[in-house]
Amino acid sequence: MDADPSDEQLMLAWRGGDAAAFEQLYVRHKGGVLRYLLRQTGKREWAEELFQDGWLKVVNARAGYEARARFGAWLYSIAHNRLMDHFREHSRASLVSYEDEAPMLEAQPSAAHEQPERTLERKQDAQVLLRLLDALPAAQREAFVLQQEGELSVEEIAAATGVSRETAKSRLRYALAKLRSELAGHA
Amino acid sequence: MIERDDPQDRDLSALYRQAAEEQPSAGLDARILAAARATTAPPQVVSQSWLNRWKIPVALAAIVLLTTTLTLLVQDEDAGRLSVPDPVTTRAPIPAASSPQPVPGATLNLGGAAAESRSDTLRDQPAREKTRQEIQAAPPPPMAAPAARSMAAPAAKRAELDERSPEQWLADIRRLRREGRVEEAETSLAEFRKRYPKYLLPDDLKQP
Repeated sequence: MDADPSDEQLMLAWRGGDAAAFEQLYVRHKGGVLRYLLRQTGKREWAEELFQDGWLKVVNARAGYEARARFGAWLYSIAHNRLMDHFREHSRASLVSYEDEAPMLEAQPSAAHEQPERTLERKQDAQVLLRLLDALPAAQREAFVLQQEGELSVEEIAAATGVSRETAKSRLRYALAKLRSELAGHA
Repeated sequence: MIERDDPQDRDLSALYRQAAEEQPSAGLDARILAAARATTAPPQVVSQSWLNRWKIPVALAAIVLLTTTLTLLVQDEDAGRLSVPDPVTTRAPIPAASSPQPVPGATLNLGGAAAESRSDTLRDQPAREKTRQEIQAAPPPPMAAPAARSMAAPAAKRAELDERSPEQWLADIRRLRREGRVEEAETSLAEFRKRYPKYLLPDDLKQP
Protein backbone atom coordinates (compact mmCIF):
# COMPACT_ATOMS: atom_id res chain seq x y z
CA MET A 1 0.00 0.00 0.00
CA ASP A 2 1.16 3.55 -0.70
CA ALA A 3 2.62 5.70 2.07
CA ASP A 4 -0.41 8.01 1.92
CA PRO A 5 -3.28 6.19 0.29
CA SER A 6 -6.51 7.95 -0.52
CA ASP A 7 -9.64 7.40 1.51
CA GLU A 8 -11.14 5.37 -1.30
CA GLN A 9 -8.06 3.13 -1.51
CA LEU A 10 -8.25 2.52 2.22
CA MET A 11 -11.94 1.71 2.01
CA LEU A 12 -11.34 -0.78 -0.82
CA ALA A 13 -8.46 -2.33 1.11
CA TRP A 14 -10.70 -2.74 4.12
CA ARG A 15 -13.39 -4.29 1.93
CA GLY A 16 -10.71 -6.77 0.88
CA GLY A 17 -10.09 -7.76 4.49
CA ASP A 18 -7.43 -5.28 5.64
CA ALA A 19 -8.64 -4.29 9.11
CA ALA A 20 -5.79 -1.80 9.55
CA ALA A 21 -7.04 0.18 6.56
CA PHE A 22 -10.27 0.98 8.35
CA GLU A 23 -8.42 2.12 11.44
CA GLN A 24 -6.38 4.51 9.34
CA LEU A 25 -9.53 5.83 7.71
CA TYR A 26 -11.26 6.21 11.04
CA VAL A 27 -8.38 8.16 12.55
CA ARG A 28 -8.44 10.53 9.60
CA HIS A 29 -12.12 11.40 9.89
CA LYS A 30 -13.30 10.70 13.41
CA GLY A 31 -12.59 14.20 14.76
CA GLY A 32 -14.20 16.03 11.87
CA VAL A 33 -17.38 13.96 11.93
CA LEU A 34 -17.75 14.30 15.68
CA ARG A 35 -17.25 18.08 15.57
CA TYR A 36 -19.75 18.41 12.73
CA LEU A 37 -22.36 16.57 14.81
CA LEU A 38 -21.37 18.48 17.93
CA ARG A 39 -21.80 21.85 16.22
CA GLN A 40 -25.19 20.86 14.84
CA THR A 41 -26.69 19.24 17.91
CA GLY A 42 -24.98 21.30 20.61
CA LYS A 43 -24.88 18.25 22.91
CA ARG A 44 -21.98 15.86 23.20
CA GLU A 45 -24.27 13.00 24.24
CA TRP A 46 -26.34 13.30 21.09
CA ALA A 47 -23.29 13.90 18.94
CA GLU A 48 -21.63 10.71 20.14
CA GLU A 49 -24.77 8.67 19.62
CA LEU A 50 -25.13 9.91 16.05
CA PHE A 51 -21.40 9.52 15.50
CA GLN A 52 -21.57 5.87 16.44
CA ASP A 53 -24.64 5.25 14.30
CA GLY A 54 -22.97 6.89 11.31
CA TRP A 55 -19.77 4.89 11.58
CA LEU A 56 -21.68 1.67 12.06
CA LYS A 57 -23.45 2.39 8.81
CA VAL A 58 -20.05 2.67 7.18
CA VAL A 59 -18.99 -0.60 8.79
CA ASN A 60 -22.12 -2.36 7.59
CA ALA A 61 -21.67 -1.00 4.07
CA ARG A 62 -18.18 -2.51 3.79
CA ALA A 63 -19.03 -5.49 1.58
CA GLY A 64 -20.95 -3.44 -0.98
CA TYR A 65 -18.74 -0.36 -1.05
CA GLU A 66 -17.78 1.02 -4.44
CA ALA A 67 -15.75 4.18 -4.94
CA ARG A 68 -18.41 6.07 -6.87
CA ALA A 69 -17.89 9.32 -4.96
CA ARG A 70 -15.31 10.79 -2.65
CA PHE A 71 -15.34 8.90 0.63
CA GLY A 72 -15.52 12.14 2.68
CA ALA A 73 -18.62 13.33 0.84
CA TRP A 74 -20.29 9.95 1.35
CA LEU A 75 -19.34 9.85 5.03
CA TYR A 76 -20.73 13.32 5.76
CA SER A 77 -23.92 12.61 3.82
CA ILE A 78 -24.45 9.60 6.12
CA ALA A 79 -23.86 11.85 9.13
CA HIS A 80 -26.25 14.49 7.77
CA ASN A 81 -29.02 11.95 7.14
CA ARG A 82 -28.65 10.53 10.62
CA LEU A 83 -28.76 14.05 12.00
CA MET A 84 -32.01 14.79 10.18
CA ASP A 85 -33.54 11.57 11.55
CA HIS A 86 -32.48 12.66 15.00
CA PHE A 87 -34.07 16.10 14.64
CA ARG A 88 -37.31 14.53 13.40
CA GLU A 89 -37.41 12.43 16.55
CA HIS A 90 -36.15 14.91 19.15
CA SER A 91 -36.04 18.48 17.93
CA ARG A 92 -38.54 19.70 15.39
CA ALA A 93 -37.36 23.29 15.91
CA SER A 94 -33.85 22.41 14.78
CA LEU A 95 -35.29 20.76 11.70
CA VAL A 96 -37.35 23.83 10.82
CA SER A 97 -34.28 26.03 11.07
CA TYR A 98 -32.77 24.06 8.17
CA GLU A 99 -35.64 25.19 5.98
CA ASP A 100 -34.76 28.86 6.38
CA GLU A 101 -33.27 29.91 3.13
CA ALA A 102 -30.35 32.24 3.40
CA PRO A 103 -30.67 35.52 1.49
CA MET A 104 -28.43 35.79 -1.53
CA LEU A 105 -25.53 38.00 -0.55
CA GLU A 106 -23.01 39.88 -2.53
CA ALA A 107 -19.45 38.85 -1.90
CA GLN A 108 -18.04 40.74 1.01
CA PRO A 109 -14.41 41.50 1.71
CA SER A 110 -12.59 39.51 4.32
CA ALA A 111 -12.74 41.18 7.72
CA ALA A 112 -9.29 39.90 8.55
CA HIS A 113 -7.81 41.55 5.46
CA GLU A 114 -9.63 44.83 6.10
CA GLN A 115 -8.73 45.06 9.74
CA PRO A 116 -5.09 43.99 10.14
CA GLU A 117 -4.87 46.08 13.28
CA ARG A 118 -7.01 43.61 15.27
CA THR A 119 -5.51 43.22 18.74
CA LEU A 120 -7.47 40.26 20.08
CA GLU A 121 -5.35 37.22 20.57
CA ARG A 122 -5.94 34.40 18.15
CA LYS A 123 -6.94 32.08 20.91
CA GLN A 124 -9.67 34.37 22.09
CA ASP A 125 -10.79 34.90 18.54
CA ALA A 126 -11.14 31.16 18.08
CA GLN A 127 -13.48 30.88 21.04
CA VAL A 128 -15.46 33.86 19.80
CA LEU A 129 -15.70 32.22 16.41
CA LEU A 130 -17.25 29.11 17.94
CA ARG A 131 -19.87 31.21 19.74
CA LEU A 132 -20.64 33.11 16.55
CA LEU A 133 -20.86 29.85 14.68
CA ASP A 134 -23.32 28.53 17.22
CA ALA A 135 -25.50 31.58 16.65
CA LEU A 136 -25.76 31.00 12.90
CA PRO A 137 -28.85 29.34 11.35
CA ALA A 138 -28.39 25.58 11.32
CA ALA A 139 -28.21 25.24 7.53
CA GLN A 140 -25.57 27.99 7.20
CA ARG A 141 -23.56 26.61 10.09
CA GLU A 142 -23.74 23.17 8.53
CA ALA A 143 -22.45 24.43 5.20
CA PHE A 144 -19.49 26.12 6.92
CA VAL A 145 -18.62 23.13 9.11
CA LEU A 146 -18.87 20.67 6.23
CA GLN A 147 -16.41 22.79 4.32
CA GLN A 148 -14.03 23.09 7.28
CA GLU A 149 -14.21 19.58 8.71
CA GLY A 150 -14.87 17.47 5.65
CA GLU A 151 -13.24 19.72 3.08
CA LEU A 152 -16.38 19.33 1.01
CA SER A 153 -16.84 21.39 -2.12
CA VAL A 154 -20.03 23.37 -2.67
CA GLU A 155 -21.13 20.61 -5.00
CA GLU A 156 -20.51 17.98 -2.33
CA ILE A 157 -22.23 20.06 0.35
CA ALA A 158 -25.26 20.31 -1.90
CA ALA A 159 -25.27 16.55 -2.49
CA ALA A 160 -24.76 15.71 1.17
CA THR A 161 -27.52 17.99 2.40
CA GLY A 162 -29.95 17.40 -0.44
CA VAL A 163 -30.17 20.94 -1.80
CA SER A 164 -29.22 22.64 -5.02
CA ARG A 165 -25.71 23.82 -5.66
CA GLU A 166 -26.86 27.45 -5.61
CA THR A 167 -28.55 27.02 -2.27
CA ALA A 168 -25.47 25.40 -0.78
CA LYS A 169 -23.26 28.15 -2.18
CA SER A 170 -25.54 30.86 -0.84
CA ARG A 171 -25.57 29.29 2.64
CA LEU A 172 -21.83 29.12 2.67
CA ARG A 173 -21.31 32.66 1.50
CA TYR A 174 -23.79 33.97 4.02
CA ALA A 175 -22.13 32.07 6.85
CA LEU A 176 -18.69 33.38 5.94
CA ALA A 177 -19.92 36.96 5.66
CA LYS A 178 -21.75 36.78 8.95
CA LEU A 179 -18.78 35.33 10.80
CA ARG A 180 -16.38 37.89 9.34
CA SER A 181 -18.71 40.72 10.19
CA GLU A 182 -19.40 39.58 13.76
CA LEU A 183 -15.79 38.76 14.42
CA ALA A 184 -14.77 42.24 13.27
CA GLY A 185 -17.32 43.69 15.66
CA HIS A 186 -15.59 41.91 18.54
CA ALA A 187 -12.24 43.35 17.65
CA MET B 1 -12.66 18.61 -2.21
CA ILE B 2 -12.91 22.37 -2.02
CA GLU B 3 -12.91 24.02 -5.46
CA ARG B 4 -11.01 27.19 -6.31
CA ASP B 5 -14.17 29.17 -6.99
CA ASP B 6 -15.92 28.01 -3.80
CA PRO B 7 -16.52 30.74 -1.24
CA GLN B 8 -13.89 30.43 1.46
CA ASP B 9 -11.89 32.44 3.96
CA ARG B 10 -8.44 31.12 4.86
CA ASP B 11 -8.19 33.26 8.00
CA LEU B 12 -11.53 32.00 9.27
CA SER B 13 -10.52 28.45 8.47
CA ALA B 14 -7.25 28.83 10.40
CA LEU B 15 -9.10 30.36 13.32
CA TYR B 16 -11.70 27.61 13.28
CA ARG B 17 -9.01 24.89 13.32
CA GLN B 18 -7.51 26.46 16.43
CA ALA B 19 -10.79 26.14 18.26
CA ALA B 20 -12.01 22.83 16.91
CA GLU B 21 -10.19 20.20 18.91
CA GLU B 22 -12.92 17.90 20.17
CA GLN B 23 -12.38 14.18 19.70
CA PRO B 24 -14.54 11.13 20.38
CA SER B 25 -13.98 9.34 23.67
CA ALA B 26 -11.68 6.31 23.87
CA GLY B 27 -14.66 4.07 24.61
CA LEU B 28 -16.45 5.21 21.49
CA ASP B 29 -13.33 4.61 19.41
CA ALA B 30 -13.04 1.12 20.85
CA ARG B 31 -16.65 0.21 20.09
CA ILE B 32 -16.46 1.31 16.47
CA LEU B 33 -13.10 -0.30 15.82
CA ALA B 34 -14.32 -3.53 17.39
CA ALA B 35 -17.38 -3.51 15.14
CA ALA B 36 -15.14 -2.96 12.13
CA ARG B 37 -12.76 -5.75 13.14
CA ALA B 38 -15.67 -8.11 13.59
CA THR B 39 -16.54 -7.82 9.91
CA THR B 40 -13.04 -8.90 8.91
CA ALA B 41 -12.65 -11.59 11.57
CA PRO B 42 -10.40 -14.53 10.67
CA PRO B 43 -11.89 -17.91 9.68
CA GLN B 44 -11.48 -19.31 13.21
CA VAL B 45 -14.57 -17.37 14.17
CA VAL B 46 -16.51 -19.25 11.51
CA SER B 47 -15.32 -22.63 12.74
CA GLN B 48 -16.01 -21.59 16.31
CA SER B 49 -19.55 -20.64 15.41
CA TRP B 50 -19.90 -24.03 13.67
CA LEU B 51 -18.72 -25.66 16.87
CA ASN B 52 -21.15 -23.62 18.91
CA ARG B 53 -23.95 -24.56 16.54
CA TRP B 54 -23.30 -28.30 16.74
CA LYS B 55 -21.89 -28.89 20.19
CA ILE B 56 -25.29 -29.25 21.89
CA PRO B 57 -26.74 -31.75 19.36
CA VAL B 58 -23.49 -33.74 19.41
CA ALA B 59 -23.50 -33.79 23.21
CA LEU B 60 -27.11 -34.96 23.26
CA ALA B 61 -26.37 -37.70 20.73
CA ALA B 62 -23.41 -38.84 22.82
CA ILE B 63 -25.58 -38.98 25.94
CA VAL B 64 -28.26 -41.01 24.15
CA LEU B 65 -25.66 -43.41 22.78
CA LEU B 66 -24.02 -43.84 26.16
CA THR B 67 -27.34 -44.38 27.92
CA THR B 68 -28.46 -46.95 25.37
CA THR B 69 -25.18 -48.82 25.59
CA LEU B 70 -25.27 -48.90 29.38
CA THR B 71 -28.90 -50.05 29.38
CA LEU B 72 -28.12 -52.93 27.02
CA LEU B 73 -25.11 -53.92 29.08
CA VAL B 74 -27.14 -53.94 32.29
CA GLN B 75 -29.89 -55.98 30.62
CA ASP B 76 -27.33 -58.50 29.38
CA GLU B 77 -25.84 -58.66 32.87
CA ASP B 78 -29.23 -59.33 34.45
CA ALA B 79 -30.17 -61.94 31.86
CA GLY B 80 -26.85 -63.72 32.34
CA ARG B 81 -27.26 -63.76 36.12
CA LEU B 82 -30.76 -65.20 35.88
CA SER B 83 -29.81 -67.90 33.39
CA VAL B 84 -26.67 -69.24 35.09
CA PRO B 85 -27.29 -72.96 34.93
CA ASP B 86 -27.98 -74.83 38.13
CA PRO B 87 -26.06 -78.07 37.72
CA VAL B 88 -28.75 -80.09 39.42
CA THR B 89 -32.01 -78.56 38.21
CA THR B 90 -30.98 -77.81 34.66
CA ARG B 91 -28.92 -80.71 33.50
CA ALA B 92 -29.42 -83.58 35.82
CA PRO B 93 -32.97 -84.51 34.86
CA ILE B 94 -32.17 -84.81 31.16
CA PRO B 95 -29.72 -87.71 31.27
CA ALA B 96 -31.70 -89.31 34.07
CA ALA B 97 -34.86 -89.33 32.02
CA SER B 98 -33.25 -90.14 28.72
CA SER B 99 -31.32 -93.17 29.94
CA PRO B 100 -32.64 -95.80 32.25
CA GLN B 101 -29.09 -96.95 32.97
CA PRO B 102 -26.99 -95.33 35.62
CA VAL B 103 -24.58 -92.92 34.08
CA PRO B 104 -21.15 -93.55 35.42
CA GLY B 105 -19.83 -90.16 34.47
CA ALA B 106 -22.91 -88.22 35.51
CA THR B 107 -21.16 -86.36 38.28
CA LEU B 108 -18.32 -85.40 36.00
CA ASN B 109 -20.74 -84.30 33.29
CA LEU B 110 -22.57 -82.09 35.74
CA GLY B 111 -19.33 -80.57 36.84
CA GLY B 112 -18.41 -79.96 33.23
CA ALA B 113 -21.73 -78.29 32.58
CA ALA B 114 -21.21 -75.98 35.53
CA ALA B 115 -17.85 -75.05 34.18
CA GLU B 116 -19.24 -73.91 30.84
CA SER B 117 -19.23 -70.25 30.13
CA ARG B 118 -22.32 -68.14 30.64
CA SER B 119 -22.54 -67.29 26.99
CA ASP B 120 -22.63 -70.94 26.11
CA THR B 121 -25.39 -71.40 28.63
CA LEU B 122 -27.40 -68.59 27.12
CA ARG B 123 -26.81 -69.83 23.62
CA ASP B 124 -27.68 -73.45 24.45
CA GLN B 125 -30.63 -72.69 26.67
CA PRO B 126 -33.32 -72.78 23.93
CA ALA B 127 -31.85 -75.99 22.51
CA ARG B 128 -31.80 -77.68 25.88
CA GLU B 129 -35.32 -76.57 26.64
CA LYS B 130 -36.44 -77.99 23.32
CA THR B 131 -34.65 -81.27 24.02
CA ARG B 132 -36.22 -81.47 27.45
CA GLN B 133 -39.68 -80.91 26.02
CA GLU B 134 -39.08 -83.52 23.30
CA ILE B 135 -37.94 -86.04 25.89
CA GLN B 136 -40.92 -85.40 28.09
CA ALA B 137 -43.34 -85.61 25.14
CA ALA B 138 -41.70 -88.65 23.57
CA PRO B 139 -43.34 -92.07 24.00
CA PRO B 140 -41.74 -94.38 26.53
CA PRO B 141 -38.94 -96.59 25.29
CA PRO B 142 -39.66 -100.17 24.20
CA MET B 143 -38.86 -101.42 27.69
CA ALA B 144 -41.89 -101.78 29.89
CA ALA B 145 -42.47 -98.87 32.17
CA PRO B 146 -42.29 -100.81 35.45
CA ALA B 147 -39.05 -102.40 34.36
CA ALA B 148 -37.65 -99.05 33.46
CA ARG B 149 -38.65 -97.69 36.81
CA SER B 150 -37.13 -100.70 38.55
CA MET B 151 -33.87 -100.14 36.70
CA ALA B 152 -33.88 -96.41 37.24
CA ALA B 153 -34.59 -96.62 40.96
CA PRO B 154 -31.56 -98.77 41.92
CA ALA B 155 -29.37 -96.65 39.76
CA ALA B 156 -30.41 -93.55 41.62
CA LYS B 157 -30.06 -95.33 44.91
CA ARG B 158 -26.63 -96.60 43.97
CA ALA B 159 -25.50 -93.14 43.08
CA GLU B 160 -26.72 -92.02 46.46
CA LEU B 161 -24.90 -94.90 48.17
CA ASP B 162 -21.67 -94.13 46.33
CA GLU B 163 -21.47 -90.85 48.13
CA ARG B 164 -21.23 -92.59 51.53
CA SER B 165 -18.07 -92.51 53.57
CA PRO B 166 -16.13 -95.80 53.69
CA GLU B 167 -17.11 -96.35 57.30
CA GLN B 168 -20.76 -95.77 56.55
CA TRP B 169 -20.51 -98.07 53.56
CA LEU B 170 -19.02 -100.88 55.70
CA ALA B 171 -21.70 -100.36 58.33
CA ASP B 172 -24.35 -100.82 55.63
CA ILE B 173 -22.66 -104.03 54.50
CA ARG B 174 -22.79 -105.36 58.06
CA ARG B 175 -26.44 -104.39 58.26
CA LEU B 176 -27.17 -106.31 55.03
CA ARG B 177 -25.49 -109.38 56.42
CA ARG B 178 -27.42 -109.16 59.62
CA GLU B 179 -30.61 -108.90 57.66
CA GLY B 180 -29.67 -112.01 55.71
CA ARG B 181 -29.22 -110.19 52.44
CA VAL B 182 -25.96 -111.90 51.84
CA GLU B 183 -25.85 -111.57 48.09
CA GLU B 184 -26.42 -107.80 48.25
CA ALA B 185 -23.86 -107.55 51.02
CA GLU B 186 -21.24 -109.35 48.95
CA THR B 187 -21.98 -107.31 45.87
CA SER B 188 -21.67 -104.11 47.88
CA LEU B 189 -18.45 -105.32 49.45
CA ALA B 190 -17.01 -106.11 46.01
CA GLU B 191 -17.86 -102.61 44.86
CA PHE B 192 -16.27 -101.25 48.01
CA ARG B 193 -13.08 -103.10 47.24
CA LYS B 194 -13.07 -101.74 43.73
CA ARG B 195 -13.60 -98.21 44.98
CA TYR B 196 -11.14 -98.42 47.86
CA PRO B 197 -8.65 -101.16 46.90
CA LYS B 198 -6.13 -100.09 49.54
CA TYR B 199 -8.62 -99.83 52.35
CA LEU B 200 -7.81 -102.29 55.13
CA LEU B 201 -11.06 -104.19 55.75
CA PRO B 202 -12.06 -105.03 59.33
CA ASP B 203 -11.69 -108.67 60.26
CA ASP B 204 -15.42 -109.32 60.44
CA LEU B 205 -15.82 -108.33 56.82
CA LYS B 206 -12.81 -110.24 55.54
CA GLN B 207 -14.76 -113.45 56.02
CA PRO B 208 -17.67 -114.04 53.67
